[in-house]
Amino acid sequence: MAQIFPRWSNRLPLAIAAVVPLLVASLGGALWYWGSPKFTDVGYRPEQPVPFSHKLHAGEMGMDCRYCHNTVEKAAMAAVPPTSTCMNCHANVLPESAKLARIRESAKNDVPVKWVRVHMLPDYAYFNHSVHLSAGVGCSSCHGRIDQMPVVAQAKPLSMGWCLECHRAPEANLRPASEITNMAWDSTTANYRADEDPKRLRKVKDLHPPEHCSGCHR
Amino acid sequence: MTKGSVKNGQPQWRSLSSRTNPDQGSVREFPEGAENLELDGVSRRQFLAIMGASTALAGGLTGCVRKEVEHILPYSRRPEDQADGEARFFATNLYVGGVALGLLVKSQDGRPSKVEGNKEHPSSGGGTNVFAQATVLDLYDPDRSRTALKAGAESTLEEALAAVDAALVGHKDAGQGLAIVIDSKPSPSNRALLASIAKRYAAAQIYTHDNADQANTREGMALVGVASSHPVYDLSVADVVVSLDADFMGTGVDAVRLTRQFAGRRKPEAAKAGEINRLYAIEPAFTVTGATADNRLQVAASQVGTFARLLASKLAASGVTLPAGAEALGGAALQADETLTKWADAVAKDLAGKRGKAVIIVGERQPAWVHGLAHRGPTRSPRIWLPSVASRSSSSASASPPGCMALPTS
Repeated sequence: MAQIFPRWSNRLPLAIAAVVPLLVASLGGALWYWGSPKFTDVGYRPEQPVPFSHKLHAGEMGMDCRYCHNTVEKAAMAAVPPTSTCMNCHANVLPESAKLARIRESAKNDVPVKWVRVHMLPDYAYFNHSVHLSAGVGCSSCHGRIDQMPVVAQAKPLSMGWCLECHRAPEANLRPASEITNMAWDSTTANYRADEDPKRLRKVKDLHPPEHCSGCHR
Repeated sequence: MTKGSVKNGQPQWRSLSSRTNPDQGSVREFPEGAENLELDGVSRRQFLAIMGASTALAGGLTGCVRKEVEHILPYSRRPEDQADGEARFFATNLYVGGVALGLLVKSQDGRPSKVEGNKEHPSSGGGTNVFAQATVLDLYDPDRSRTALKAGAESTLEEALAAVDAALVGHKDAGQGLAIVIDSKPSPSNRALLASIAKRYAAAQIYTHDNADQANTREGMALVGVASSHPVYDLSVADVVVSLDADFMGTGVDAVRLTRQFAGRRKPEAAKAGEINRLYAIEPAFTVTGATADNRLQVAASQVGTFARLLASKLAASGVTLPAGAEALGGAALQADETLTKWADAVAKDLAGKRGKAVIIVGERQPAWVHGLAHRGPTRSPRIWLPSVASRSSSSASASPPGCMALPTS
């Protein structure tokens, strides 16, 4: 009686044993790399309806972040400013600029400007700006060098692992209250010890950044 | 298709139409060929297959593409002190049946989201009732009228005001044929405006319309000489409370405050001091108040008034003066069964010792004369006929508009 399987099929289990783990590993590796927020989210730089340049306003002119994002110290959300904030200056500065047509239209007709959200935290993750500021985490720790961005892009992954890295050991990202909005602050060269700062309102040992699930997923 | 069948000599039918029209025979529930329905060249089975595949693809693949673009639409002119995303609380009142309930409404970015009681308002003390909680749903009710209606069709407020203007301004007569329907808000400004309308249009008719209006209560008080008022009870000083079909702790209009006051006298410490209150409930149905009562008697709704008459006669016999006309209330000769009489005896005995520290509350659904019987009458002197001193009436001295049902006062 003839053999059903040819001779080469004897090597098939060996080939499967060699190839399948390789496939699984490369699939995992591909997901790990291309599926990570470090790849998918960092660098997200949508076009905005008005070409507002943080590089010009915050960088070259040195405006304080809190002039526009004025609720950041007292509310969970760092509010995107109302059109009237723009018009405080632009009623007189460049009142005819074509780039500002949308702003003037918004102010005149009382309709909002439809900005595109850059930092998209999922709805199931709670984040509070004011708490982080009062703890001594600066703007640039999460948003990067906004003062050097003509168009705002996401600088950090904002992933859960990235959040937890800091929540587990926040000391390196803490700075004095006076430097919160300082974009150029560099913790590696600043030589600042948060736990030895007598002027800190919240002592480092009292911060207790939550590491449990319901700290953020609440 | 089968003709209406006949079984045991009786014609059988499957639907009302086949019964009224037996010659038509039975009508099929589904049209012929429904199982092979084909639309636009796609059969039902094919359609389900395509739908299933596209749902699976949509669910499986959307996780792999970039997140949707989100937008931020800030105010063009932000209200002062508004922090986007932060809740703000507004103090307000809810009027139900002429009683104001103090509320705090949580508002998120201009959208009211939760109603709670206002701790600093005496009618609430931090509590709310079902009516207050339901107002949030009411606000977002898609059936809620958002604009003025004209003969059932949508119109604008400006048009409506113009139409009212055209109808009223220059009207030289006294307002014959003019009727105004308004809810029973206990607002002095409202009342003053209505009074000025009534003055200008003497023949106009002004009606209050309110699901929770205390019409019977007002009418009953008018019977004993107190016009345009409803009683406001203070249970914090009441040692004995008698509820005559009054669910003052459940669905009553002032339930939040009354429950709080009643519960304030139900403390174990008060029991030690001999100051705990006592509640009698005489009612035709189960209520929260009845469940809380120390003594509850279930009687027919028509017997509640009989009980009130029995009680009044027992109290009169023990030396309490009834207001003028009170004895005639209730009409025909008093007939009561043994249980009612026994109860009236017991309650009257309890009340007699608590003069000035007892309240008799009558439910709104009881007829006016029962309310009249339970009220102490127009006197404000210490000589009070029924021991409902804790009830104080507030009468509106200002003349009610003619032809107007009495507007409630708070």
